[in-house]
Amino acid sequence: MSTRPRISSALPDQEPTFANVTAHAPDMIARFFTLYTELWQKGIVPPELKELTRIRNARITDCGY
Amino acid sequence: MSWLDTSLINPDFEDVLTLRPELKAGFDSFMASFAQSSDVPSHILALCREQVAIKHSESIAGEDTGALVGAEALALAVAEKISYDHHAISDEEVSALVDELGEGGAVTLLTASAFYDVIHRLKQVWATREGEG
Repeated sequence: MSTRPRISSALPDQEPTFANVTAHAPDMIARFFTLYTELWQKGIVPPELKELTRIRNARITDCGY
Repeated sequence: MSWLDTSLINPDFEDVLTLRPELKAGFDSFMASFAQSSDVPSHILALCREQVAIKHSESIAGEDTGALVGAEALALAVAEKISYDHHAISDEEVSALVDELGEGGAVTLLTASAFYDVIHRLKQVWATREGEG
């Protein structure tokens, strides 16, 4: 696992967060957030259950988010 | 065998996603963005997609990739690890990928490889067949 950011922020003087790094591919990430919004804000699965599964997934994959 | 009701739906990837049309539209648009990007040559994306499929045992293409160098070799190395050993992708590999493709290309290629993996995981969980997603 890396201990330092591997790709810089696409936005000057900003931290290399997920959004700022993926901004290097602006069209791709715009479409991703459209998809992500659809996934998180719509459908019949309760938001609490989605968040629970997200956290579980992050723990399993050693993700810091 | 799929756990989905096959009397109502064909158990392939595309049809399952169609159960949520807006989600499918967003997913298709997002996946199409990789090929539409000018940051990564299409043949490198195809190599990564095939490599991920091989890791999931859904391809028996088995092409000899030992002679590949540069961006192609790096892309394959990353795609091979991203399915089951993503923490093994090294700083040096990502740095070399950035050198070859630029930061936009590296972001696109890593994201594409990760989502090629997502498709295979979904197909296995849904027990679907066919469809490229």
